Amino acid sequence: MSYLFIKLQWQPNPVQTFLIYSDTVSGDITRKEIKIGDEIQIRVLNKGLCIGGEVEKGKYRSCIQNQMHSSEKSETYKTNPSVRNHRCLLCVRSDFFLCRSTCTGVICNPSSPRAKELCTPPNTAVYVTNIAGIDKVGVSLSVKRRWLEQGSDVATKIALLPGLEARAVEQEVNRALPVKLQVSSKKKRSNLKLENFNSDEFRKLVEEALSIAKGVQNEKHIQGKVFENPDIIYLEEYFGNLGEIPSYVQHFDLSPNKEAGGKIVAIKGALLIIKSGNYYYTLNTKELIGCEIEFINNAQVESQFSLDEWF
Amino acid sequence: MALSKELQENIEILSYGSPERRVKAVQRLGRIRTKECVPPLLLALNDTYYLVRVVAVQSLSWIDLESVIPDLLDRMKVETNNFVKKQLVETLTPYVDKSVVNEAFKAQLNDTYLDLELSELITNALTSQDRIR
Ligand SMILES: [Zn+2]
Repeated sequence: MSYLFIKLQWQPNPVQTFLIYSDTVSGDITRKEIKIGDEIQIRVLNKGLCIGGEVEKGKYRSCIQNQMHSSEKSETYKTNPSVRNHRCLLCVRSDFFLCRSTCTGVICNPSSPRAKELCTPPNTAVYVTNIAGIDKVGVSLSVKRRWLEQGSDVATKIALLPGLEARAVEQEVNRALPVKLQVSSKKKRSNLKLENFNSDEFRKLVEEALSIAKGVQNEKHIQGKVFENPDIIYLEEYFGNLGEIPSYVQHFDLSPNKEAGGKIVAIKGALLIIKSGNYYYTLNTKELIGCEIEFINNAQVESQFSLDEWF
Repeated sequence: MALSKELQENIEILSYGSPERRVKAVQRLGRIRTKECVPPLLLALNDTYYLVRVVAVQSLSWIDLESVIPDLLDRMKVETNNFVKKQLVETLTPYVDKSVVNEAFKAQLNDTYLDLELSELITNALTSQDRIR
Protein backbone atom coordinates (compact mmCIF):
# COMPACT_ATOMS: atom_id res chain seq x y z
CA MET A 1 0.00 0.00 0.00
CA SER A 2 1.32 3.41 -0.84
CA TYR A 3 0.29 6.84 0.29
CA LEU A 4 0.59 10.37 -0.94
CA PHE A 5 2.13 12.44 1.84
CA ILE A 6 0.20 15.68 2.23
CA LYS A 7 1.69 17.36 5.28
CA LEU A 8 2.64 17.42 8.91
CA GLN A 9 -0.05 19.35 10.71
CA TRP A 10 0.12 21.12 14.04
CA GLN A 11 -3.08 21.63 15.96
CA PRO A 12 -2.77 24.52 18.39
CA ASN A 13 -5.37 23.84 21.10
CA PRO A 14 -4.50 21.42 22.61
CA VAL A 15 -1.14 21.13 20.91
CA GLN A 16 -0.96 17.93 18.87
CA THR A 17 0.87 16.85 15.75
CA PHE A 18 -0.50 14.80 12.88
CA LEU A 19 0.76 13.25 9.70
CA ILE A 20 -1.75 13.66 6.89
CA TYR A 21 -1.61 11.38 3.89
CA SER A 22 -4.00 9.88 1.39
CA ASP A 23 -4.28 6.36 0.04
CA THR A 24 -3.08 6.47 -3.57
CA VAL A 25 -5.83 4.07 -4.66
CA SER A 26 -8.95 4.97 -2.67
CA GLY A 27 -8.00 8.60 -2.02
CA ASP A 28 -9.02 8.17 1.64
CA ILE A 29 -7.31 10.61 3.95
CA THR A 30 -5.58 9.49 7.12
CA ARG A 31 -4.81 11.91 9.93
CA LYS A 32 -2.47 10.07 12.24
CA GLU A 33 -1.27 11.61 15.48
CA ILE A 34 2.46 11.36 16.07
CA LYS A 35 4.14 11.77 19.40
CA ILE A 36 7.63 11.95 20.80
CA GLY A 37 8.84 8.37 21.24
CA ASP A 38 6.94 6.98 18.24
CA GLU A 39 8.73 4.93 15.62
CA ILE A 40 8.46 5.97 11.99
CA GLN A 41 9.88 4.05 9.04
CA ILE A 42 9.27 5.05 5.45
CA ARG A 43 10.41 4.44 1.91
CA VAL A 44 10.01 7.14 -0.73
CA LEU A 45 8.70 5.86 -4.06
CA ASN A 46 8.02 8.97 -6.07
CA LYS A 47 8.11 12.70 -5.70
CA GLY A 48 6.67 15.92 -7.10
CA LEU A 49 3.00 14.90 -7.17
CA CYS A 50 0.01 17.18 -6.80
CA ILE A 51 -1.53 17.17 -3.31
CA GLY A 52 -4.59 19.19 -4.34
CA GLY A 53 -8.11 18.05 -3.71
CA GLU A 54 -11.68 19.10 -3.19
CA VAL A 55 -14.61 18.25 -0.98
CA GLU A 56 -17.35 16.72 -3.07
CA LYS A 57 -20.63 15.54 -1.60
CA GLY A 58 -19.11 15.63 1.86
CA LYS A 59 -16.23 13.36 0.91
CA TYR A 60 -12.71 14.50 0.22
CA ARG A 61 -11.50 13.63 -3.26
CA SER A 62 -7.84 14.09 -3.89
CA CYS A 63 -6.52 15.27 -7.23
CA ILE A 64 -4.98 11.82 -7.64
CA GLN A 65 -8.30 10.16 -7.11
CA ASN A 66 -10.05 12.47 -9.53
CA GLN A 67 -7.49 11.44 -12.09
CA MET A 68 -7.74 7.78 -11.31
CA HIS A 69 -11.48 7.73 -11.61
CA SER A 70 -11.30 9.35 -14.98
CA SER A 71 -11.07 7.40 -18.23
CA GLU A 72 -7.40 6.57 -17.98
CA LYS A 73 -7.06 4.66 -14.78
CA SER A 74 -3.64 3.22 -14.66
CA GLU A 75 -1.15 5.31 -12.77
CA THR A 76 -2.37 8.53 -14.31
CA TYR A 77 -1.48 10.34 -11.11
CA LYS A 78 2.15 10.12 -12.09
CA THR A 79 1.40 12.32 -15.05
CA ASN A 80 -0.05 14.95 -12.78
CA PRO A 81 3.05 16.69 -11.48
CA SER A 82 2.91 19.61 -9.14
CA VAL A 83 3.90 22.92 -10.65
CA ARG A 84 3.49 25.25 -7.71
CA ASN A 85 2.97 24.87 -3.96
CA HIS A 86 2.77 21.12 -4.51
CA ARG A 87 -0.24 21.49 -6.76
CA CYS A 88 -0.83 20.80 -10.42
CA LEU A 89 -2.03 23.49 -12.74
CA LEU A 90 -5.69 22.48 -12.44
CA CYS A 91 -5.56 22.53 -8.67
CA VAL A 92 -3.65 25.82 -8.57
CA ARG A 93 -6.35 27.44 -10.67
CA SER A 94 -9.13 26.21 -8.43
CA ASP A 95 -7.51 27.51 -5.21
CA PHE A 96 -9.83 30.20 -3.82
CA PHE A 97 -7.03 31.84 -1.82
CA LEU A 98 -4.44 32.17 -4.57
CA CYS A 99 -4.04 35.87 -3.85
CA ARG A 100 -2.48 35.10 -0.48
CA SER A 101 0.57 33.59 -2.10
CA THR A 102 1.13 36.53 -4.43
CA CYS A 103 0.28 39.39 -2.05
CA THR A 104 3.04 41.94 -1.54
CA GLY A 105 0.90 44.39 0.43
CA VAL A 106 0.65 46.91 -2.42
CA ILE A 107 -2.88 46.33 -3.62
CA CYS A 108 -5.69 43.98 -2.65
CA ASN A 109 -6.43 41.61 -5.53
CA PRO A 110 -8.79 39.02 -4.08
CA SER A 111 -8.75 35.80 -6.08
CA SER A 112 -12.31 34.94 -5.04
CA PRO A 113 -15.19 36.39 -3.01
CA ARG A 114 -14.36 33.96 -0.20
CA ALA A 115 -10.74 35.14 -0.09
CA LYS A 116 -11.99 38.72 0.17
CA GLU A 117 -14.36 37.77 2.97
CA LEU A 118 -11.59 36.07 4.93
CA CYS A 119 -8.93 38.66 4.35
CA THR A 120 -10.75 42.00 4.63
CA PRO A 121 -11.77 42.03 8.33
CA PRO A 122 -9.00 42.87 10.83
CA ASN A 123 -8.26 39.23 11.62
CA THR A 124 -4.78 38.87 10.21
CA ALA A 125 -2.09 38.93 12.86
CA VAL A 126 1.35 40.38 12.30
CA TYR A 127 3.93 38.59 14.44
CA VAL A 128 7.61 38.75 15.20
CA THR A 129 9.38 35.52 15.99
CA ASN A 130 12.83 34.07 16.56
CA ILE A 131 13.51 30.80 14.77
CA ALA A 132 16.88 29.09 14.90
CA GLY A 133 18.43 32.31 16.16
CA ILE A 134 16.99 34.38 13.32
CA ASP A 135 14.40 37.12 13.78
CA LYS A 136 11.49 36.90 11.40
CA VAL A 137 8.28 38.84 10.75
CA GLY A 138 5.16 37.28 9.28
CA VAL A 139 1.40 37.42 8.96
CA SER A 140 -1.15 34.73 9.72
CA LEU A 141 -4.84 34.16 10.34
CA SER A 142 -3.91 31.59 12.99
CA VAL A 143 -0.69 32.57 14.72
CA LYS A 144 -0.12 29.82 17.23
CA ARG A 145 -0.55 27.19 14.54
CA ARG A 146 1.81 29.10 12.28
CA TRP A 147 4.44 29.39 15.02
CA LEU A 148 4.27 25.68 15.67
CA GLU A 149 4.36 24.89 11.94
CA GLN A 150 7.49 26.90 11.37
CA GLY A 151 9.21 25.82 14.58
CA SER A 152 9.32 29.23 16.28
CA ASP A 153 11.35 29.28 19.49
CA VAL A 154 9.94 32.57 20.70
CA ALA A 155 7.16 34.69 19.25
CA THR A 156 4.76 37.54 19.84
CA LYS A 157 1.78 39.07 18.09
CA ILE A 158 2.18 42.77 17.37
CA ALA A 159 -1.04 43.68 15.54
CA LEU A 160 -4.36 42.43 14.25
CA LEU A 161 -5.27 44.06 10.93
CA PRO A 162 -7.01 43.50 7.58
CA GLY A 163 -4.92 41.23 5.35
CA LEU A 164 -3.52 43.89 3.03
CA GLU A 165 -2.44 46.24 5.81
CA ALA A 166 -1.01 43.34 7.79
CA ARG A 167 1.10 42.51 4.75
CA ALA A 168 2.12 46.17 4.43
CA VAL A 169 3.28 46.23 8.09
CA GLU A 170 5.16 42.98 7.55
CA GLN A 171 6.97 44.39 4.52
CA GLU A 172 7.77 47.65 6.31
CA VAL A 173 9.17 45.84 9.37
CA ASN A 174 11.28 43.70 7.07
CA ARG A 175 12.52 46.79 5.28
CA ALA A 176 13.28 48.88 8.37
CA LEU A 177 14.61 46.29 10.84
CA PRO A 178 17.07 43.39 10.68
CA VAL A 179 14.19 40.94 10.46
CA LYS A 180 13.76 38.28 7.77
CA LEU A 181 10.63 37.23 5.90
CA GLN A 182 11.87 33.65 5.63
CA VAL A 183 14.15 31.29 7.48
CA SER A 184 15.52 28.47 5.36
CA SER A 185 15.12 24.83 6.36
CA LYS A 186 18.88 24.50 6.35
CA LYS A 187 19.21 27.20 9.01
CA LYS A 188 16.42 25.63 11.00
CA ARG A 189 17.97 22.21 11.10
CA SER A 190 21.43 23.49 11.88
CA ASN A 191 20.16 25.38 14.89
CA LEU A 192 17.56 23.29 16.66
CA LYS A 193 18.03 24.62 20.15
CA LEU A 194 17.30 28.01 21.63
CA GLU A 195 20.85 29.09 22.26
CA ASN A 196 22.33 32.57 22.40
CA PHE A 197 18.87 34.09 22.53
CA ASN A 198 18.80 37.50 24.14
CA SER A 199 15.34 38.29 25.46
CA ASP A 200 16.12 41.98 26.05
CA GLU A 201 17.21 42.43 22.45
CA PHE A 202 14.14 40.60 21.23
CA ARG A 203 11.91 42.80 23.36
CA LYS A 204 13.60 45.88 21.92
CA LEU A 205 13.05 44.59 18.40
CA VAL A 206 9.38 43.97 19.17
CA GLU A 207 9.03 47.54 20.48
CA GLU A 208 10.48 48.89 17.25
CA ALA A 209 8.17 46.68 15.19
CA LEU A 210 5.21 47.92 17.25
CA SER A 211 6.02 51.54 16.50
CA ILE A 212 6.27 50.75 12.80
CA ALA A 213 2.88 49.04 12.95
CA LYS A 214 1.39 52.06 14.74
CA GLY A 215 2.86 54.34 12.10
CA VAL A 216 1.28 52.35 9.28
CA GLN A 217 -2.04 52.20 11.11
CA ASN A 218 -2.16 55.95 11.72
CA GLU A 219 -1.05 56.83 8.23
CA LYS A 220 -3.68 54.69 6.56
CA HIS A 221 -6.49 55.16 9.14
CA ILE A 222 -7.22 51.47 9.20
CA GLN A 223 -9.39 49.44 11.51
CA GLY A 224 -7.82 46.83 13.71
CA LYS A 225 -5.36 47.14 16.56
CA VAL A 226 -1.70 47.34 17.39
CA PHE A 227 -0.97 45.71 20.74
CA GLU A 228 0.56 47.44 23.76
CA ASN A 229 3.31 45.49 25.47
CA PRO A 230 2.31 42.08 24.09
CA ASP A 231 3.29 38.82 25.82
CA ILE A 232 6.33 37.05 24.51
CA ILE A 233 5.60 33.37 24.10
CA TYR A 234 8.19 30.58 24.42
CA LEU A 235 7.29 27.51 22.39
CA GLU A 236 10.17 25.15 23.20
CA GLU A 237 8.06 22.99 25.48
CA TYR A 238 5.96 21.75 22.56
CA PHE A 239 8.85 20.38 20.55
CA GLY A 240 10.10 17.55 22.74
CA ASN A 241 13.46 17.04 24.31
CA LEU A 242 15.66 19.32 22.23
CA GLY A 243 18.34 19.21 24.95
CA GLU A 244 19.06 15.57 24.15
CA ILE A 245 20.04 16.35 20.57
CA PRO A 246 23.76 16.63 19.85
CA SER A 247 25.08 19.62 17.97
CA TYR A 248 25.81 17.60 14.83
CA VAL A 249 22.73 16.04 13.28
CA GLN A 250 22.56 14.36 9.88
CA HIS A 251 19.77 14.90 7.40
CA PHE A 252 17.71 12.25 5.65
CA ASP A 253 17.87 12.24 1.88
CA LEU A 254 14.27 11.77 0.76
CA SER A 255 14.86 11.06 -2.92
CA PRO A 256 12.90 8.21 -4.55
CA ASN A 257 14.02 4.76 -3.35
CA LYS A 258 15.57 6.16 -0.17
CA GLU A 259 14.48 4.93 3.23
CA ALA A 260 14.36 6.84 6.47
CA GLY A 261 13.33 6.04 9.98
CA GLY A 262 13.90 5.61 13.67
CA LYS A 263 12.51 6.90 16.93
CA ILE A 264 11.11 10.42 17.05
CA VAL A 265 12.86 12.39 19.78
CA ALA A 266 11.56 15.83 18.89
CA ILE A 267 9.22 17.53 16.44
CA LYS A 268 10.11 21.10 15.63
CA GLY A 269 8.06 22.84 12.97
CA ALA A 270 8.19 20.60 9.91
CA LEU A 271 11.28 18.77 11.16
CA LEU A 272 11.11 15.39 12.80
CA ILE A 273 14.26 14.76 14.80
CA ILE A 274 14.86 11.05 14.67
CA LYS A 275 17.30 8.75 16.44
CA SER A 276 18.43 5.76 14.46
CA GLY A 277 21.05 3.58 16.10
CA ASN A 278 23.48 5.97 17.72
CA TYR A 279 22.87 8.79 15.28
CA TYR A 280 20.43 11.65 15.12
CA TYR A 281 18.82 12.79 11.91
CA THR A 282 16.40 15.45 10.80
CA LEU A 283 13.58 14.42 8.52
CA ASN A 284 12.13 17.48 6.83
CA THR A 285 8.46 16.66 6.26
CA LYS A 286 8.27 19.60 3.84
CA GLU A 287 10.49 17.59 1.51
CA LEU A 288 8.03 14.74 1.83
CA ILE A 289 5.04 16.76 0.64
CA GLY A 290 3.86 15.43 -2.71
CA CYS A 291 5.87 12.22 -2.31
CA GLU A 292 4.39 8.77 -2.71
CA ILE A 293 5.59 6.79 0.29
CA GLU A 294 5.25 3.40 1.94
CA PHE A 295 5.39 2.65 5.62
CA ILE A 296 7.88 -0.15 6.14
CA ASN A 297 9.73 -2.02 8.86
CA ASN A 298 13.45 -1.64 9.49
CA ALA A 299 14.32 1.15 7.16
CA GLN A 300 17.82 0.95 5.75
CA VAL A 301 19.24 4.21 6.94
CA GLU A 302 22.29 5.43 5.11
CA SER A 303 24.65 7.34 7.26
CA GLN A 304 26.48 9.99 5.28
CA PHE A 305 29.53 8.86 7.10
CA SER A 306 30.26 6.94 10.23
CA LEU A 307 31.60 9.03 13.06
CA ASP A 308 33.60 5.99 14.15
CA GLU A 309 35.66 6.14 10.98
CA TRP A 310 37.08 9.40 12.17
CA PHE A 311 38.80 7.98 15.19
CA MET B 1 -14.43 30.96 -30.62
CA ALA B 2 -16.30 34.07 -29.55
CA LEU B 3 -15.06 35.71 -26.42
CA SER B 4 -17.55 36.06 -23.62
CA LYS B 5 -19.17 39.42 -23.11
CA GLU B 6 -17.49 39.88 -19.74
CA LEU B 7 -14.10 39.20 -21.24
CA GLN B 8 -14.73 41.65 -24.09
CA GLU B 9 -15.79 44.38 -21.68
CA ASN B 10 -12.68 44.00 -19.59
CA ILE B 11 -10.44 44.04 -22.64
CA GLU B 12 -12.08 47.28 -23.77
CA ILE B 13 -11.60 48.87 -20.36
CA LEU B 14 -7.91 48.00 -20.59
CA SER B 15 -7.68 50.09 -23.75
CA TYR B 16 -9.85 53.05 -22.83
CA GLY B 17 -10.55 53.04 -19.09
CA SER B 18 -9.16 55.18 -16.29
CA PRO B 19 -6.25 53.75 -14.27
CA GLU B 20 -8.59 52.61 -11.50
CA ARG B 21 -10.91 50.90 -13.95
CA ARG B 22 -7.97 49.23 -15.65
CA VAL B 23 -6.85 47.82 -12.29
CA LYS B 24 -10.35 46.42 -11.76
CA ALA B 25 -10.29 44.93 -15.24
CA VAL B 26 -7.03 43.03 -14.71
CA GLN B 27 -8.40 41.83 -11.36
CA ARG B 28 -11.48 40.46 -13.06
CA LEU B 29 -9.44 38.77 -15.76
CA GLY B 30 -7.51 37.03 -12.99
CA ARG B 31 -10.74 35.81 -11.50
CA ILE B 32 -12.19 34.58 -14.78
CA ARG B 33 -8.93 32.63 -15.03
CA THR B 34 -9.36 31.10 -18.47
CA LYS B 35 -6.74 30.86 -21.20
CA GLU B 36 -8.47 33.63 -23.17
CA CYS B 37 -7.52 36.05 -20.40
CA VAL B 38 -3.79 35.57 -20.98
CA PRO B 39 -3.26 37.76 -24.11
CA PRO B 40 -4.96 40.88 -22.68
CA LEU B 41 -3.11 40.39 -19.39
CA LEU B 42 0.19 40.17 -21.26
CA LEU B 43 -0.63 43.50 -22.90
CA ALA B 44 -1.43 44.91 -19.47
CA LEU B 45 2.15 44.18 -18.39
CA ASN B 46 3.01 47.26 -20.46
CA ASP B 47 0.31 49.48 -18.97
CA THR B 48 1.47 52.95 -17.96
CA TYR B 49 -0.03 52.67 -14.45
CA TYR B 50 2.12 50.55 -12.11
CA LEU B 51 -0.76 48.99 -10.17
CA VAL B 52 -2.20 47.61 -13.40
CA ARG B 53 1.15 45.92 -13.97
CA VAL B 54 1.34 44.58 -10.38
CA VAL B 55 -2.11 43.04 -10.64
CA ALA B 56 -1.49 41.76 -14.16
CA VAL B 57 1.53 39.82 -12.88
CA GLN B 58 -0.58 38.32 -10.08
CA SER B 59 -3.49 37.47 -12.34
CA LEU B 60 -1.24 35.88 -14.97
CA SER B 61 0.44 33.74 -12.34
CA TRP B 62 -2.94 32.37 -11.28
CA ILE B 63 -3.80 31.21 -14.79
CA ASP B 64 -0.67 29.48 -16.01
CA LEU B 65 2.49 30.90 -14.59
CA GLU B 66 4.82 28.48 -16.30
CA SER B 67 3.73 29.45 -19.81
CA VAL B 68 4.21 33.18 -19.20
CA ILE B 69 7.62 33.03 -17.54
CA PRO B 70 9.39 34.39 -20.67
CA ASP B 71 6.96 37.34 -20.79
CA LEU B 72 7.46 38.12 -17.12
CA LEU B 73 11.22 37.95 -17.55
CA ASP B 74 11.03 40.33 -20.52
CA ARG B 75 9.06 42.73 -18.37
CA MET B 76 11.56 42.45 -15.54
CA LYS B 77 14.35 43.58 -17.87
CA VAL B 78 12.67 46.89 -18.63
CA GLU B 79 10.63 47.45 -15.47
CA THR B 80 11.60 50.55 -13.48
CA ASN B 81 8.97 50.53 -10.74
CA ASN B 82 10.12 48.75 -7.58
CA PHE B 83 6.64 47.57 -6.58
CA VAL B 84 6.23 45.84 -9.92
CA LYS B 85 9.75 44.44 -9.78
CA LYS B 86 9.10 43.06 -6.33
CA GLN B 87 5.90 41.43 -7.53
CA LEU B 88 7.78 39.89 -10.43
CA VAL B 89 10.52 38.55 -8.17
CA GLU B 90 8.06 37.13 -5.62
CA THR B 91 6.04 35.52 -8.38
CA LEU B 92 9.02 34.00 -10.18
CA THR B 93 10.90 32.81 -7.09
CA PRO B 94 9.31 29.34 -7.11
CA TYR B 95 10.91 28.90 -10.55
CA VAL B 96 14.37 30.10 -9.63
CA ASP B 97 15.79 26.66 -10.41
CA LYS B 98 14.92 27.14 -14.08
CA SER B 99 18.02 28.46 -15.74
CA VAL B 100 16.24 31.33 -17.52
CA VAL B 101 14.84 32.61 -14.23
CA ASN B 102 18.09 32.03 -12.41
CA GLU B 103 20.07 33.97 -15.00
CA ALA B 104 17.53 36.80 -15.07
CA PHE B 105 17.74 37.12 -11.27
CA LYS B 106 21.52 37.19 -11.38
CA ALA B 107 21.39 39.84 -14.09
CA GLN B 108 19.23 41.97 -11.78
CA LEU B 109 21.91 41.77 -9.10
CA ASN B 110 24.44 43.20 -11.55
CA ASP B 111 22.39 46.38 -11.75
CA THR B 112 24.24 48.82 -9.52
CA TYR B 113 21.10 50.91 -9.04
CA LEU B 114 19.02 48.00 -7.82
CA ASP B 115 16.96 48.79 -4.72
CA LEU B 116 18.53 47.27 -1.57
CA GLU B 117 15.38 45.48 -0.50
CA LEU B 118 15.01 43.92 -3.93
CA SER B 119 18.62 42.92 -3.92
CA GLU B 120 18.12 41.06 -0.64
CA LEU B 121 14.95 39.44 -1.90
CA ILE B 122 16.71 38.17 -5.02
CA THR B 123 19.77 37.02 -3.11
CA ASN B 124 17.53 35.07 -0.74
CA ALA B 125 15.70 33.51 -3.66
CA LEU B 126 18.96 32.44 -5.27
CA THR B 127 20.47 30.97 -2.13
CA SER B 128 17.47 29.46 -0.36
CA GLN B 129 17.66 25.70 0.12
CA ASP B 130 14.03 25.60 1.02
CA ARG B 131 12.49 24.90 -2.32
CA ILE B 132 11.45 21.44 -3.25
CA ARG B 133 10.94 21.99 -6.94
ZN1 LIG C 1 -3.97 18.52 -8.90
